[in-house]
Amino acid sequence: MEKRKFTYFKKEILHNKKAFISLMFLILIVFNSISIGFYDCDPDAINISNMLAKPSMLHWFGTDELGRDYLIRVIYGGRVSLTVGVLAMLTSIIIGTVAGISAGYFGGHIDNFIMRLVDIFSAVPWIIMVTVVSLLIKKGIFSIILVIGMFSWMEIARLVRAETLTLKQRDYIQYADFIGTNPWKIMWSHIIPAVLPTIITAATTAVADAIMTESSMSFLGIGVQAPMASWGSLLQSAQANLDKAFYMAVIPGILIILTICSFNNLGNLIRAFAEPKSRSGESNG
Amino acid sequence: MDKLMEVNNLKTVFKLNRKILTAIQDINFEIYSGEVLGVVGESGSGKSLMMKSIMGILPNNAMIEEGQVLYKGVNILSLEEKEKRKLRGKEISMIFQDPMTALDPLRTVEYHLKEVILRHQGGGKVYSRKKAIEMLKKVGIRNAEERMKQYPHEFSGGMRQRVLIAMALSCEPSLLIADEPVTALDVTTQLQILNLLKELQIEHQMAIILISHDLGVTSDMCTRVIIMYGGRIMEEGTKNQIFFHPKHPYTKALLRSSMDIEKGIGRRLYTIEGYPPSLNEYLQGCPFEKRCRYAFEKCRDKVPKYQYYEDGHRALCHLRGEELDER
Amino acid sequence: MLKYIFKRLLVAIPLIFVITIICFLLIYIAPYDAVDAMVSPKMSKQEIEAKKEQAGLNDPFYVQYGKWFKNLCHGEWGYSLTSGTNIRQDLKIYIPNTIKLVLPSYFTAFFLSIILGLIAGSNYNKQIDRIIDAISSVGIAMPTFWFALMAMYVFGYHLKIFPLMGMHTIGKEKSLIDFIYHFTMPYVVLTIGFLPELVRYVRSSTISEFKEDYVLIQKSFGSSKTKILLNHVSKNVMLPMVTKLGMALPMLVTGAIITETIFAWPGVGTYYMKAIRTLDYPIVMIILVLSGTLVILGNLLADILYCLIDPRIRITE
Repeated sequence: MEKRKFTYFKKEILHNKKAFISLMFLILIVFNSISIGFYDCDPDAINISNMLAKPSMLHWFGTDELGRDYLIRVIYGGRVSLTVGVLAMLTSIIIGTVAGISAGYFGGHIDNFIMRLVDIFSAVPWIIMVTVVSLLIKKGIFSIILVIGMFSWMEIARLVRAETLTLKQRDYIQYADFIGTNPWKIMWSHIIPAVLPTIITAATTAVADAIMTESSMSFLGIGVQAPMASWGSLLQSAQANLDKAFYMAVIPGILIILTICSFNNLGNLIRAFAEPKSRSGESNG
Repeated sequence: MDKLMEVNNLKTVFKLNRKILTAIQDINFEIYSGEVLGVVGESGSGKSLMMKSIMGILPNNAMIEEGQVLYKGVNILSLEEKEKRKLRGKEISMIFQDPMTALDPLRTVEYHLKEVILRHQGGGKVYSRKKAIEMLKKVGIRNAEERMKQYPHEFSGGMRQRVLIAMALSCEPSLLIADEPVTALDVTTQLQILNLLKELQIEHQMAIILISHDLGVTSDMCTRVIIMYGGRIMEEGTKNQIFFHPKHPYTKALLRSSMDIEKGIGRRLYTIEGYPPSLNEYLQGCPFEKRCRYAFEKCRDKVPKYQYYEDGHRALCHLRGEELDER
Repeated sequence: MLKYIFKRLLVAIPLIFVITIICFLLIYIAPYDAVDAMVSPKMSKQEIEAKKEQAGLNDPFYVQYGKWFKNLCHGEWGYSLTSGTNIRQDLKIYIPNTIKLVLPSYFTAFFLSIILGLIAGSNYNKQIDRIIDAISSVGIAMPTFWFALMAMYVFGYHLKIFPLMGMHTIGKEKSLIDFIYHFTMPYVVLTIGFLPELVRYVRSSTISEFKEDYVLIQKSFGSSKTKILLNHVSKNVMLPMVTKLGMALPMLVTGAIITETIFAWPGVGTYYMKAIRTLDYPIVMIILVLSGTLVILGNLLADILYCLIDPRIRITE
């Protein structure tokens, strides 16, 4: 059954213009991020004689306040933003899935405890949580990934828990439990594959959210640190030079928008496949 | 009795995933004022869709491909939407299967009734309120004045259906379409509601199209019956003709499967094996062919023409009724 | 119904407690010494130790927490490490400034989102819906601070219509017009920041609502789509929106941190970010507790409002 869904999915992506463009854009960005490593260009190559140059044939995106080629800075920045996005997503997905399945499957005290944790973590606005934690731990790329992951697992946990609760009632799960199968094995072999569509949908949204969060954090100065740059930190430096080098602010912002939009579009498409479609019209007798 | 409504060659299609699927076709029937016409069929036979096509309240992905509906001589399918709306609730009213979700949970029953009354009759606050109370009393809701102020969730299923009937009848329609009005109710309430409908029908002299899959309900109230299957009319006739002299294999099978209970304990219940065709299946021949015990090659390849019998009795089959009895 | 509210309060209060404990814990383990606020570099080690003992900094955790919590409830919120000002007095000035900015923005966005969302949802898949949906999708993907930069450049630098910083021009604090000049850009930026998500929510709510059975029933009684929208669907859509309002309570304090920082608007956001940058822990701690409490109270408020408005809950006794 999965193979048939997959073929439908591939067909739908090709027909659905929005999803197709999104997918192509993301492939382009990822390709650029990876392939730039093979080129001999240094994103930190300072050239004071050419500061804040407007975009030209030589420098397609112009140069920044230290004369560094902006195109290269932006591509490297994209690499960082995407990496943080994906890794932070993985962190939150793993935490969220483990929490959700445990809460849903075991129920009782474990469920209560985990749900209280969800409430507590959800109780403080993310920006406060994130800024406070950044005070306590060393700044850097891994810190951000951890921080973002630690404060975005709650929604996934809720979703997974709800799915698990429904699945627990299914006959094949109850039977497996009845014949004494190890609960971990049940969770790994039966429940996780069944909640996988939900997780995948949540994952695309999680990447989009993580990229937004990272950009905001870097913009505020508590994200990636110089000389490493992400789109968010590029925007921070752009702010100081706003009147002289407007392009510095425009470009990373547009890329953030396009990337997040693309992930969201793909996420919507996946969600349409993950959720069972209600049959329109026929069901009215 | 004069002809109230005439449906000619009605065909409604669905657009699903870029494909066009036929839901109902070759629908022809008439209904006269004051009579009760039963429409019987399984889920998916197209009976509800047929009524929605007549009323013009099809879902967005469905449309009428051909046909006309002459109501009091006027083809209502070709009217402007504004004109159609004037008919709905006033000339032709409809009540639906599920009363639990049919009312806006945030509006009182009074609001629901007054809204319909004001729209089609005007008259202002005082008149509409009086009329609303009158209608509620008529459908058997005691303490109408107090209960009016309550919200739908404070009414039971049966009571909600009564409210809906009150709304439907408030503007004295000439035709009431009742789409499985008692299916979702428990048996005692079913009887009450059916009796109510009977009384009101006599009092208002209105025509009713009663859709049901329950032969008992149909035989109780209807004078004429249409049997539907796979989007087509399989058989049409008076109550006597259909129940005592069925000419179509499907009708025969339906009757057999509902009468067995009286024949005694120890015998297997008769069921019609198989499933109704889904919209996706494109059928060249008779839709009932796969489940028909009399089917032969022609049935799969060609759609049958109607066989005619006495007094307007007809059946869609390649075989005549007498031939069926022989087999 | 009162019972329901009481039950919810019973759940909320321990949660607030836990938040305060966590806040205190976080700052307790933070790499800073509270005694630094009270000593000067010239003091000897003994004097510093004595100060520590006097200030109760050597007491066990729960004692320190207890004292701090008691002070918290009495309104003694401590002093800033960098400026020595009373935090409570500071907030008395800054919070109203933030509210002046956030309240109008949120209400504008709320109001607009209802209109746009209802229009989009009731015209599902038609042109106007596609446009509104596309714009709100882009809006959700757009960082508010980026939009702020764009607006600053166009209206501040380029066209020079609006001032870029602060809430008033010095000397013109009483002038309403001056305030409006300063207010406009952050207000627009903030509204645009709140808008897309709200629109999307209203739109999807409207689309689901139109699939309900009662809509078909209304159609069968001759109601037009517009009438159905205005008389029935809109009410059903706006009901759950009330919860959104409740949850916007914390926004009044922390909803505009980034925007305030960009425009140097003298509100809680700027105050807080400065505290973060200068490691001013007492301030951070208070804002932490404040925001957590407001979130919990906001949820509670949302629940109560819902209880009051939904006839299905209100009437079932």
